[in-house]
Amino acid sequence: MTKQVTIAISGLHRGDNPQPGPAVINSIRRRYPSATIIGLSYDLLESGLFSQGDDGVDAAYLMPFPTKGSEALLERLDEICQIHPLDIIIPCLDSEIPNYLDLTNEFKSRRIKIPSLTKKSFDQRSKDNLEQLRKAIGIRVPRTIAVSDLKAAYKACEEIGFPLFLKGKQYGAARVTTPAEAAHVFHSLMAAWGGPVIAQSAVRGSGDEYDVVGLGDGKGGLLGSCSIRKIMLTGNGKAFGGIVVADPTLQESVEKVIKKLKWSGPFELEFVKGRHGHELIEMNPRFPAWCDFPSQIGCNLPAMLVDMLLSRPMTPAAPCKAGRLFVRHCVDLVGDISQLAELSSGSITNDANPNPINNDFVLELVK
Amino acid sequence: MSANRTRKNGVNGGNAVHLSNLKIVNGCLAFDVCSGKFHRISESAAFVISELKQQTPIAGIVSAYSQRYKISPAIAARDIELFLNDMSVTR
Repeated sequence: MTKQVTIAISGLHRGDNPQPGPAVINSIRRRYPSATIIGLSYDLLESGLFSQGDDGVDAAYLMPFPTKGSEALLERLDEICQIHPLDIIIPCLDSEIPNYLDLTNEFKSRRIKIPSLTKKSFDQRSKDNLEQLRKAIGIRVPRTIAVSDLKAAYKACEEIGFPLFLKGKQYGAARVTTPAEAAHVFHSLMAAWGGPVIAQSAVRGSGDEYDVVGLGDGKGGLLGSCSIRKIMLTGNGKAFGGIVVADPTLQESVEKVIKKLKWSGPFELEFVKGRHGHELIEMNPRFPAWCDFPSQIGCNLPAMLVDMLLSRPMTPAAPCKAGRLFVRHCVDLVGDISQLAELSSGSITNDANPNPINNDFVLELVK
Repeated sequence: MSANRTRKNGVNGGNAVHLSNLKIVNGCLAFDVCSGKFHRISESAAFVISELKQQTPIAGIVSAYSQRYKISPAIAARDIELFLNDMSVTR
């Protein structure tokens, strides 16, 4: 029996702080236009729900927030599978990953594929473990101290010196320049993400920011990657434009990290250029919001992930040529109140088929 | 001649431009493929960088530059020296 592959993807909102979901969907559809895409949404107004383009979803479901835990997640996914049996889930938000890791065995028994990241490598790349990573593989990282109360935060600020960054364990960061700012940011991050909060030295140097998206094979190898320098930033430091670089030193640092962690699946490494070279400021365990840019220049990592999860032969990722660049472009999507009404009952199915089947690229899943 | 380049943190702050990494695009943009930085450059700057990339000795560049722009070798030599200082070019 054969059927079209059904892939669930989260992180659908492309606001001023864009999430990766629609970029991942677009990339997958570039190679597999017939794939059925199920959106996993936390809000009625996630912008990706309203897209009729190739980054849109065929159906979407409201999900319990990650703070509800893995049992609530599994219960909801089981409900979804009764209507849309899922073959693959690609979680695209940092806060979701721990719940998915907790459910690894459940997914195996249900024959649902997810990126096979291990809890060990997930924890090793955590912001509060960057110092250990530095010691283990000799890459540069800014001075980083994890703190769980305000007194410890003040002490860390004093030790590191202002200005510095306070970061949430899973997400969020702010530059602070005074103890008063530190207190405000500390409380905000604790309220949003829980502890610890990470105090990280601001990198002194050119301040240029470099991001690398890639896909690890789980054995220490890199299946493909693309490195950019951010050339435009949003108010909160997200890449709004980037240009491909070809820096062997940066590439060497990336390969060292992936080899040490035996990373499996998508990742984003964030570096800042300091006085003595690139310093790793964090590693995200998912695709970044700009991952459809490399897909458009021959390095389609989300499609490779699908192949990897289905144990299919992988089309090698083309090296990204230095000088190719992207600039993000915002558009207004049209929706209707009836869509909000439908989704508020828990799910929505789009009547339109945004992706007519191209027989050259039908992706079939043999069961 | 202008490179429109801002130097930070001393001589090059660890960001020296290596000629092998520098691409001249359409004769008006210098792009460092390693750092991802790019700078608008004048036609004369593009000329000097192209000569440097071809390993032309400085004396040869001065000579060619003075002929091309019809200026004295002394002015050409000063112009090129100032430009190289500004670019912090590592050959």
